[in-house]
Amino acid sequence: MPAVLAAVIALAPIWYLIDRAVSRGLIEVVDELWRRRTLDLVLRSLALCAAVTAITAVIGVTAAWLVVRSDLPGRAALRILLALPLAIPSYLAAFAWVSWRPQLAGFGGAVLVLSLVSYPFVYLPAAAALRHIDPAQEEVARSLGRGRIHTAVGLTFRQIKPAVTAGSLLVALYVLSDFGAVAAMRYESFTWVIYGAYRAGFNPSRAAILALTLVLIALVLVVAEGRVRGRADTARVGSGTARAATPVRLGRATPVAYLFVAVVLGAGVGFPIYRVVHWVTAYQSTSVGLDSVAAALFETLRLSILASVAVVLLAVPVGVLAVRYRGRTSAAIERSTFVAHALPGIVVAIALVFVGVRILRPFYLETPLLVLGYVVLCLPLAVAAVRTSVELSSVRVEEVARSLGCTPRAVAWRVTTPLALPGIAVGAALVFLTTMKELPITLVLHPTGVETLATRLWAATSVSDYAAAGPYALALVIFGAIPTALLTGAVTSRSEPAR
Amino acid sequence: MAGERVKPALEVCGLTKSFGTHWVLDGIDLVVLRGSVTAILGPSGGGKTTLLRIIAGFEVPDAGTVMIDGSTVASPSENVPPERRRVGVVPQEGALFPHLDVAGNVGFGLPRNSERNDRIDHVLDLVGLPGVRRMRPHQLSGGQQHRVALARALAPRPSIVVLDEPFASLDAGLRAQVRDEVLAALEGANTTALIVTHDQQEALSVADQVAVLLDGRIAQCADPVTLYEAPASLDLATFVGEAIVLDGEVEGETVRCGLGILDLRDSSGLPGAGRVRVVVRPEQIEIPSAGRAVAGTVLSRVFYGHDGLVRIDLGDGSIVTARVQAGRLPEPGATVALCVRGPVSAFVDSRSS
Repeated sequence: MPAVLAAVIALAPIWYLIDRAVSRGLIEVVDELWRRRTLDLVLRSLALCAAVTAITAVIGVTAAWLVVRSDLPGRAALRILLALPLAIPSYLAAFAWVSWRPQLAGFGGAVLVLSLVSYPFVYLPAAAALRHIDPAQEEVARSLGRGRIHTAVGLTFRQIKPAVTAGSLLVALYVLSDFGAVAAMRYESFTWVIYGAYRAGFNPSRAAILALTLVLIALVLVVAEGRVRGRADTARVGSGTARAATPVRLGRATPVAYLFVAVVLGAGVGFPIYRVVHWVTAYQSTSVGLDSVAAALFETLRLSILASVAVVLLAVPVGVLAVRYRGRTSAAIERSTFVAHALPGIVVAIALVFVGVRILRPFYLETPLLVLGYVVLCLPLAVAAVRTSVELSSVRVEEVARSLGCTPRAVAWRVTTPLALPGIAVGAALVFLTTMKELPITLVLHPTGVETLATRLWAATSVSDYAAAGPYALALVIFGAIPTALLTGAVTSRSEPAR
Repeated sequence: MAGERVKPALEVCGLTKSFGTHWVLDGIDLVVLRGSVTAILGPSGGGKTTLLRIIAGFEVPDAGTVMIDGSTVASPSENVPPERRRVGVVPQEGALFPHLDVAGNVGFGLPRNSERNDRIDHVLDLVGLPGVRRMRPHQLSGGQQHRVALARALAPRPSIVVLDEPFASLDAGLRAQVRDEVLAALEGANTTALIVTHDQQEALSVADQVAVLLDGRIAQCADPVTLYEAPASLDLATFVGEAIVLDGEVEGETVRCGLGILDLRDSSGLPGAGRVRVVVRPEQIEIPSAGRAVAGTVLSRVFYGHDGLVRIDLGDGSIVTARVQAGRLPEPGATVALCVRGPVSAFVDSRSS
């Protein structure tokens, strides 16, 4: 039942979008798509996607290898620091750069900013994959006469390839759906043009048609990634656990490694924070009252907590069902995480505007519809997190509990839930972080008179009032860093489940 | 061991189970007497685990009944849920609850009352692990995890404990030790136990009764000595223990084969004369010997320390393996005299009929 509800929530907006797009007939749709402008738009978005995906793959894999497999001093702390760009909203980073060098605006700036904020999508899964490779395989390769580099390329990187492709897909989808950075960099990609068409108001079906096109491109990427990824054929004989790998000695390459990490962290985290602090101190943001910052912070926290609770309440039953009752739909559920990543915030926002106007009129521009938007956006993230942790509690363990006198309900309470709790917490933190940073949905659907940190920051920076932007940006970075640190800790230090 | 009055702890009748078109269990009958240890011995993937899961209540049989302590828990008309069967389960990998410490695991099936703590201590003592109460499952070795899993199963005083390949995941050195400890614990708790295994040595050494599961049926259910010395079929003879199989001719109470004229353990069920297959155990062959002897040439030998196996060519096309004490192992190429000690088994040759 909750699963059906979740499916309805995810699919209803799309249905309204289609309805809206074809409202003036199919001819109109074809005309719109065949315009030169639309083709340019597609090419511009794909170019941005390709550039950022390539760069993040290199940064992500290198960073992962350095903190997991090398003897880089301080790698334990770097492991968490390198995930911190997740906490920096893309529009904040973009404003930090263009306010410093306005000529960065455009393709170059967009590539720079998006690469710096999205490489953790590759870094985190690559690090996890590297940690799980049995070093004995590499040792065997070496003993069979393969050189160190030959082994790394032929064996190690082949084994982490599925993780890296999956991460790269996330990056590509992130770039396609990102609104803040391209808007700040004034790079005419899909999301910005859709927002423009929506704001212009006179042609809502153009916005809907472009939004659907964007979703289609994203879906094509998802399917293509499934083909490229292939299957990680892993086989292990015996039940012994893998030894931890001996760290590779960097030797004289250590300074180079440090330089790499310093550049990535400096540009990705240090520089935006420096600019934010600079805005606050240099302009002495007197124009902004502390009370309006506090009010925006309160609204942000309120909405994020509401969204986290709503999403978790829906995600737990869906995640449990997905694991325990695998049917023909299991593959679809597997992919649904990615499919929903393919649903950009701006698309969700515009779809919900139509839903709001058509059937949820009383909630239009009210909190419930905004939270619904967050739920549509974040549900798949939370479902994935819950599913992973429900899988930890194996059927075997639950059967033992049954044989010890527990009813199925008692098993759910005494075994499944405690085991899934860390995963649920991770899911909630993820939703919290995403909704805090979220811009397009908030921008389009926020209730009249309610301002969040994101909308305040957006309003101030779009008129280049960096003095006013400073305090909001600072609050956003600080409160975004907390869930990020928790999340990274949870992901990178997850211990082996006891058997 | 068994008196007539003893009510069996477990009684399985005509149990069948199929997955799709594949019959995993095809009419299983089994009786386990209270206080005894029964081993289900069969090849991997032979339905042993399915049988165990049906007894525990995790699977529903297609037909047949399961009775525990005289009351029916599974039949075509009813199926008692696992939590009301009083069957203690020890899964292959232990399956301890990772979020609970040892005391939490062992006490999981116990009511929250004053006896709880004493009971936890008692069963932990029983499995030889006092003082691990506060440890987490991942801090324990594989063998320790296994014993905690056993303690957890024993704690609520179940009618029967079922163990699925309990020692398979342990390495060889540890296996014998854990096996002894588990047996001692089962004995100490005076529990009825059903152990599923594919390891024949384990089955023979651990159990009061061994049921061999072949092709979805119980091929034979007997005490270990009978099973080894008087297997019911040629398949069983070769499955349980090492066997030399030779062609032979029945002559009344004896059989003539490449190893001479041997006494038959049981000639009933065999034709008065005709071709049969003769089964000789390697340890029945003696070298050197006096008396009725045949000659053979040593082909090779494998040394095991306490004894060794010698492959001998009898010169008539058949090759036999003899288990010989260390220090008496002949050199390859030597000619030796052989004789067979004790009676042997023979089966009607199904190839020719």
